[in-house]
Amino acid sequence: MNERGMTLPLTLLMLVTMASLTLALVALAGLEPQISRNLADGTQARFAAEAGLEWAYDRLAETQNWNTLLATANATPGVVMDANRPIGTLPAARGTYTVWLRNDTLPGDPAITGTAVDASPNADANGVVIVTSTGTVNGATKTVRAAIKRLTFPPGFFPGAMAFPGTEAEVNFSGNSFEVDGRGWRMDGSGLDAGCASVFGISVSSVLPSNDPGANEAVVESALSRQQQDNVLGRPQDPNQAAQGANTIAPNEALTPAMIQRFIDQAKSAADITLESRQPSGLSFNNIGSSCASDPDSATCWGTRDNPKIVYVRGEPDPSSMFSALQLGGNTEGYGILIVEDGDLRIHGNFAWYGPIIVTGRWVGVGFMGGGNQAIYGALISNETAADQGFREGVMTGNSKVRYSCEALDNAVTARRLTRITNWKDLAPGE
Amino acid sequence: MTSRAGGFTLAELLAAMAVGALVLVGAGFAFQVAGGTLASGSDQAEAQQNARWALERMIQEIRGAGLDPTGTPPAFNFDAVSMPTATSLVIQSDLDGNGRLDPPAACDPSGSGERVSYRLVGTELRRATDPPANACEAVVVGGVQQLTFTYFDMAGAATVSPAAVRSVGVTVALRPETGTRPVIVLTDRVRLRNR
Repeated sequence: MNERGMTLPLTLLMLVTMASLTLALVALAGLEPQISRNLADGTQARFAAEAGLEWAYDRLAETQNWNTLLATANATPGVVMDANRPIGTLPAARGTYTVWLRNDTLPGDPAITGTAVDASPNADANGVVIVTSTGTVNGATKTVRAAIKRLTFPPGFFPGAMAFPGTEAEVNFSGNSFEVDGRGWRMDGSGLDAGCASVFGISVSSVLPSNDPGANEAVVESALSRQQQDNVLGRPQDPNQAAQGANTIAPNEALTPAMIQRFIDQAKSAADITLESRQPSGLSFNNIGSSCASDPDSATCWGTRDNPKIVYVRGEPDPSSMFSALQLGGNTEGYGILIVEDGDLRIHGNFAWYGPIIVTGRWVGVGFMGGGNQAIYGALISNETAADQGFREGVMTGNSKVRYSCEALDNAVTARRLTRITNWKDLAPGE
Repeated sequence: MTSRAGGFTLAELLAAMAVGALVLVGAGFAFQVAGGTLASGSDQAEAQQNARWALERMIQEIRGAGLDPTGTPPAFNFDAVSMPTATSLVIQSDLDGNGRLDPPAACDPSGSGERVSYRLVGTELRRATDPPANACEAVVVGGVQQLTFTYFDMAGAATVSPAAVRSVGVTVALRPETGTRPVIVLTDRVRLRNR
């Protein structure tokens, strides 16, 4: 007869109950930290991906010709700009990013870039590329994609060292020490740049004024004495004639006032420095650039070689044609793109600018007023859009030079604000 | 009486049963308490999960708001957010790059859309892809006690102008759908990457 009782089963039952309860709690306790770990890793991975995008932006902004980066790219996924790169100086365990660069050649790319596709994966012709950056932290990955756009000079934007694409090209040259040279110069003035094709010394509109085609070319040519004509050099109109004088003062239809307007409308929204100039006295500065060494971000530093700037001066239309929107004096030096709209630019003293200067709008002109060594390496555009017969669009006095320079123009496009990250998108896994 | 049969007297049995019952009551009590803790713990975890999920989902969409491939800053084709209020907003993106905001092809309130609205109705956070009609709407999460959107301009100052919005703050307060656990509050602020 066995009457051992219920102790063992009861104990076992309770043990199992307690154990399952404990296990449930432990599972819950273990799962929650894992969930938050995953969340933290995922968040960090996304920041790592964004760091990759910023890094890529930096590389692209400082690169003059993006085709050098696209040289070995295929259509998709493109070319690796860098793989598993740690964030700044942090150890790799804190996150890494891998960045791919490709040109926009795929049929779906206009939805990313907003522009028509390029033809070749290795040649950017439309100023936009696509960057994809994947951040990784502890096995969690996140990918972001963006189009990176740069505002570039449209083809044919610089037909001459000095261009008068507007309605008038009334000019005055005094003395014999000025120089207008459409041959490609090195930016430091050390000599000619064999890789830079010559442009005309002076180009003028051939369709404006509409009532007298060809008038502007004759106006410029007749403003130069025979001796002065020797100071204008550049691509010859007639290849069998000398590459100077009247033979390099030529009509051009590629550069139009509308094209300039489109360009400056975009450039001024990206300007590093925007200045409002009011009548009657306008703005006047001395020694621009002297602050660059101590404070490159200051409003009186108009760019350095490594960090060119876009400077935009907005004037006011003055039908009397007398308004100088900007006068520069002392020792002025700058790099980048200088735009003066609706007012004259007058240059006094020592002056050096590396990049294009665009003076455009109603009743405008550019004057090298003497008083020092004055030089533009790059190009000068004086675009008069309102007729003001008798008032000049270009004046060169004293020791003044306009030398065409591909190197200076290419350097100007590295102005950081010309390059933008657009169309940022957080990609879903597998997208 | 040579041998006593193995067994217990009634008194012994009663005593043993009383002790056993006491132990069982104690164990049952412990079980109940533990079960309650477990339930409330998982309720709270669930509420946190819901709040995180809701916030993450909104933040991710707000971050990418204003995608406008054919627009050229500052001349965009549309604002990144429209109808911004404290408890609702509409997120706008030109996903197909055709320069305009298209209505959804079919009703899919949890899918992608060029105009996506989030709003609080009662205690429900709802998402729709056809604002302002919101006829095609789904509940993202329930038990929401508070949903607050705040809008900031480029300088970080509060703004109500859709065109000026550059970053958005989101606060979600959520109570577990069952029980009376405390409210979970999560907050985040996100910059619009495309503006």
